Amino acid sequence: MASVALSEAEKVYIVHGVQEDLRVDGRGCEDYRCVEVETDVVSNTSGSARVKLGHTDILVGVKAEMGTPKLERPNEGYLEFFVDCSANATPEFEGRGGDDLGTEIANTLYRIFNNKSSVDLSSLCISPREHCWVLYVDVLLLECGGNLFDAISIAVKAALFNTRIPKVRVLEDEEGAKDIELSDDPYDCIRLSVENVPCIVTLCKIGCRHVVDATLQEEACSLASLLVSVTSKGVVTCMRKVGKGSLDPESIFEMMESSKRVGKVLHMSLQSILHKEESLGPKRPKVGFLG
Amino acid sequence: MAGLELLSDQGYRIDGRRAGELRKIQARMGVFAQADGSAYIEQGNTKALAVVYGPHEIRGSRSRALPDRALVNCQYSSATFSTGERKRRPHGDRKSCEMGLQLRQTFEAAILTQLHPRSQIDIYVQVLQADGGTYAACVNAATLAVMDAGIPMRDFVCACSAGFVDGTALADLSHVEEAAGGPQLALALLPASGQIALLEMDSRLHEDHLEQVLEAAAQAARDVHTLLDRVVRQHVQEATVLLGD
Repeated sequence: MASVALSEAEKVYIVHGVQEDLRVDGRGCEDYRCVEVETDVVSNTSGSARVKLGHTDILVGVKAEMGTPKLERPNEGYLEFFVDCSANATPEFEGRGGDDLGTEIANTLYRIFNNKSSVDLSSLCISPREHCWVLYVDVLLLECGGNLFDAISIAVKAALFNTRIPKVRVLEDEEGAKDIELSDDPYDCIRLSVENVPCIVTLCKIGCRHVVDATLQEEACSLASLLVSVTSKGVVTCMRKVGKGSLDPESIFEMMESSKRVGKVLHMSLQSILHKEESLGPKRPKVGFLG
Repeated sequence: MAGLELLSDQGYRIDGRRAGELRKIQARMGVFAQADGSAYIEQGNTKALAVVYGPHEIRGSRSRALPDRALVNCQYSSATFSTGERKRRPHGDRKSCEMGLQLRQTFEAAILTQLHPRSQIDIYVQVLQADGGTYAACVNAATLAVMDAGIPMRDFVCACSAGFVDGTALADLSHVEEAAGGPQLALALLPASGQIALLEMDSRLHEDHLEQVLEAAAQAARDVHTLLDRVVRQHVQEATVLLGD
């Protein structure tokens, strides 16, 4: 992970500030930085979103392609995640340098979506055992400014909200051969329900308190973090401890309560932003990287 | 796509442009705060990001350091969702390696590497959406990023692609025109002196037509230079306003 070198004095300054609920940029321990979300940034995808959280910049593209359902789930489509840590973020990610971090993030994404309620996979089925929609969710990490997992999960949720899958009909002729027909109208499409898509809340333990949305400097001072994946209703779908330090059980329970609180607020604001953007319609000015 | 005319009788291309007309170009410098230099460019539907780190100490083996000039290192990467069909690997395949080498050759000709001996300049280009002319968009974005990083160059490096259909040279090819299979020329130019930094041509072209196509590409590159110059001046103006009088 891209890291920054801090002196001992700087670390002590950050740790003491966090004990008093005051972080370097003036936030409280449970406050997020300003998040910018924009959808439909890349036009030849089924859905896309760009999230800018402080200095962290993520671009997610979703492509819907037709494939065969998995053997153990013949009535469902599925999602495939791929994370590309681009060399733009730091020269250490050049060549294969970013592969380790990319695989770790992709595996975390698989785990948080690995339950029945996150995405309605049966709506992605076209004909059981033969055809289904496969959603390839590709995450591109452009700039690394701390708190990658949160930003990536917000971007994935926004991109899935923006995804438009074309409607298909299966026609069967006399010999039993099936033909798939795409609808003529390019705007005739199905949307996914993202009500239950979880977002990751990362809590970093600094001293004896924990902070939400740590910057690179704060991550350098923390020994252990807890990644909790929460849905908008406060249901926890996945939990993981990362870092080389250790956590005691009481602090884990405290952090979990904290993450549910923060997660609900995060989901509410994200939903309101996405609906507001959607209500502006196709005529809204697209800013992308030019703004 | 049978019967799709690349150039109609009235002289219009598929997207309504004239033969020598460029697509709409919009660019911005200083997109990322953490990198030394960064830029974003949109040429029609092709979107490219370039980020520059350097000049800094050589990473990896010190033996690669050149005693009299800087080492220029380029990587070309295109996002998996950038093309119509999903790409499996963003970089590391042959085409990306070749593009990286071509970018390196282009910028070694333009950057004043003698000013930074024993150091390394990294240029990373990321294509977000590919609709033809990706090499040209990458070179234009990288020029702006190198300028944003404050690395001295001989001149702007402006690039454009050109093709040849029905006796007319076309400038700035889109993906549909490239896929049609005609001759394609990619040209990177240093506009002030008129020197060519990189010239690459695919497919068959009669040598009598070469001058016409080359001139069309050069003129398009000079038009790109006018636009990039304006972007740089505007960026510097905004930066000085922020610094205050």
